[in-house]
Amino acid sequence: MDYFLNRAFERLWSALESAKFERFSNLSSILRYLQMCVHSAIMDHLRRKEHDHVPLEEHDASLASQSASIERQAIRRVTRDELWVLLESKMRDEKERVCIYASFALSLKPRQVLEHFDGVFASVDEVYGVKQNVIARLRRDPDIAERMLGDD
Amino acid sequence: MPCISPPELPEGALLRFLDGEADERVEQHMRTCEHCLERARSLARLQGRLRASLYRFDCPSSSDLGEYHLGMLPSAESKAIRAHIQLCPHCAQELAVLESYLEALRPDLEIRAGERVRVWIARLMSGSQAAKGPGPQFAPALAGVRGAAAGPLIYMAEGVQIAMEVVEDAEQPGRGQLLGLVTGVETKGWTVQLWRLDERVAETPIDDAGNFTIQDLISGEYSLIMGDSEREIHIPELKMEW
Repeated sequence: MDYFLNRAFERLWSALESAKFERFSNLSSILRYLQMCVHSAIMDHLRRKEHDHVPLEEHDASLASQSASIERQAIRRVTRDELWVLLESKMRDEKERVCIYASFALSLKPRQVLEHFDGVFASVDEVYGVKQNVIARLRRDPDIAERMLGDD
Repeated sequence: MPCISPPELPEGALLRFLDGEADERVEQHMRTCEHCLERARSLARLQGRLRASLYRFDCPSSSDLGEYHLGMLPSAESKAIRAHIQLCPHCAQELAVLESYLEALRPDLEIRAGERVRVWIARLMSGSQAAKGPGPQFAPALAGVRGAAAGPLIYMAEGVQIAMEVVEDAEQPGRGQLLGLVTGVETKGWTVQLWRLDERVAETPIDDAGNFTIQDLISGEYSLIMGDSEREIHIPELKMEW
């Protein structure tokens, strides 16, 4: 509990300094902001836990540690934004871009992609088809292979 | 090691297998074919790396989402977040939770009528000091209300004078009555409360002349609050003895 309270007050303190303080018109608005800071502290904690548990897939536990090490190296080499810019440059059309963004940035399964991005894809089969083609192309791409390492 | 049942499964089938959406034919094949299983593992590793690197990479921070909801962001940033929320179910969900949470807490931010009340702590004045006029304000009350034999006690707060006396109730031996007179203020609509051990034990209106009486009291330590919706006068730690 103390952890979240401290994080919440840190955020409030940051917002109360200098020019930002002008955004608050009265005590109620400051208190409301503090309430938001509490929520934000909890959400950040949940986001971190969520990110730590983005699965490598569970089909080969013996390779999991090796893969995690490779992942850490990949992340160190390329910032997330840079990687997305690189991947996006490899996409041939909007469907491929949406498919990859939804699959990896949003971690949605093809059925969820179909539902969430209404009108982009005609069926789950199409989503899988686009995803299959993109992944096959990325695996053959030397830029991607170099940055992701261990890509087999 | 080659596939046990060529041709090997297409990658689309492997993707469905990894998502738990494969048909029984594929499931059966994967149970026995080490070659295709290894291909699936490779595919899983690649997907895992991509997710680990990209997951929510362009999502606004939770603080930014909160400030967006509170309308505190510049228009350009607000517009960008609004566009992102249309695409991202995770941020949309977080925003919905935030909205619900803040709405549930909204009553806590409303300044209730009682919280606007001005509160004064009355100061105990001697009879001679009361005759000279109002004394210092906002000072803690001192000794308790003494019995009738010691005479009335005078309290002062913000120009209001409160004279009180405790007498034994003739009709209820062992019980006392608190008699009070409030002057220096319009007492229409005023009430007086007696509290003991964090419990309100008595409440009575003060008449237009400023008089009040509280009966059926036992000796002990009390606190007194009098006033209306706009102001309160507190006399803490009253010891009533007779």
